[in-house]
Amino acid sequence: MQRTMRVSVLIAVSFSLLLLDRNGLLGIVKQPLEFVVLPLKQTVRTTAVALSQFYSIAGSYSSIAILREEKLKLTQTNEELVHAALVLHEENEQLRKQLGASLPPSFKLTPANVIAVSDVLEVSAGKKEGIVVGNSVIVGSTMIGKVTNVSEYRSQIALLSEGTVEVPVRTTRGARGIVASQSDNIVIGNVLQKDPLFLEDQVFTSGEGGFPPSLLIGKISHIAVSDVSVYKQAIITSPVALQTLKTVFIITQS
Amino acid sequence: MRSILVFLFFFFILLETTAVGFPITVILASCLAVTTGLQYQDVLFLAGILFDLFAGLPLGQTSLFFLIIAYLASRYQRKMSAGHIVYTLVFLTIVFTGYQYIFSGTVILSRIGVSLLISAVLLWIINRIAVFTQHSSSRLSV
Repeated sequence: MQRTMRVSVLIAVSFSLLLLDRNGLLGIVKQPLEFVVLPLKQTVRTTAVALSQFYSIAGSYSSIAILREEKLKLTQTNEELVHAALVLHEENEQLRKQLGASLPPSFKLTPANVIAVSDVLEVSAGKKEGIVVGNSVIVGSTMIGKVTNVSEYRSQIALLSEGTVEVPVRTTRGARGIVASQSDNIVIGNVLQKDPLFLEDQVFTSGEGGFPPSLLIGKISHIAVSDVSVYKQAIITSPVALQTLKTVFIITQS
Repeated sequence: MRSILVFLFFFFILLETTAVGFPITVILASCLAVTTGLQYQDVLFLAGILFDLFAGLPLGQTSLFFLIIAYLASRYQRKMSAGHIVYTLVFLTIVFTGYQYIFSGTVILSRIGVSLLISAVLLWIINRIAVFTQHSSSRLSV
């Protein structure tokens, strides 16, 4: 009986609280309690999340070794792909540059990767690619040398600055001469005294001597004047940086 | 027993309102009501108030529900405690259905089924604890 009385009182209290709260009259009591409840809930929530993560990690413990192995493989594959992408990017850049060069459409260009640069340039393309001795080698529209030695899979190129290549040329002002190497420089010689030769003049192949015409050799950077000699001479600077070359193009048909 | 119940309720309320999306508090309250009737009505009242506070519900809502369950359980306690499991099951099913309908507006049958299963386990534990405490309090000392 007493219990029934007590439960009736408690029900009445609950009902009163509900009514008061519904009408927003318990805000003053509830607000300070929120400061206790919220951090407590936050802590429990954080712990629950940490626990669930722990269980998830513990549950997948057996697959961690497999995942690690897969990660290693993927990292390796990724590195290989990054390297391949880099190589392709460079090759693409070279091809773009080459396509942008104003060369006659009759030219058949064979790309070749540079494998060594010393006195001669060595490339990984040979007879298989249709390369023969005497082919001109270009980068963009600039001629850098001539194929001097060809094997099945590689070729040696005599550079204008290093080798014994002699190329008949003309300048933008019409002066004619022969380009050859002299003390590691590209030098234009055999230019008649009457022919104009100025600094910054561009030098091109004339099309004689078995070389294709209109290939750029470089710009005149220094003129050697001598009143007594029959011919004038000048040093030509090539726009191509040989030490950093990765791909060159060999004109196999002109 | 009272302190164990208070701790259990507090623990269940914390879990239900933060991490577990299942009405474990009402299951505990129902089992307690079915087993003890009005004996722990103050605990049920306190648990209801705490639940409302933690769940952000209007104060008094859950305690009112718990107390009504306890009152109804006490009315039919003789039938339920006479070993008729069917009465207990029917009572609990009505309680869980009512709770779901009142508090969430929907009735999910699977949830009621799981609640009944958990209740069965809890009832067994509560009975065991009750037997143990009764036994230890009635032990003769020399």
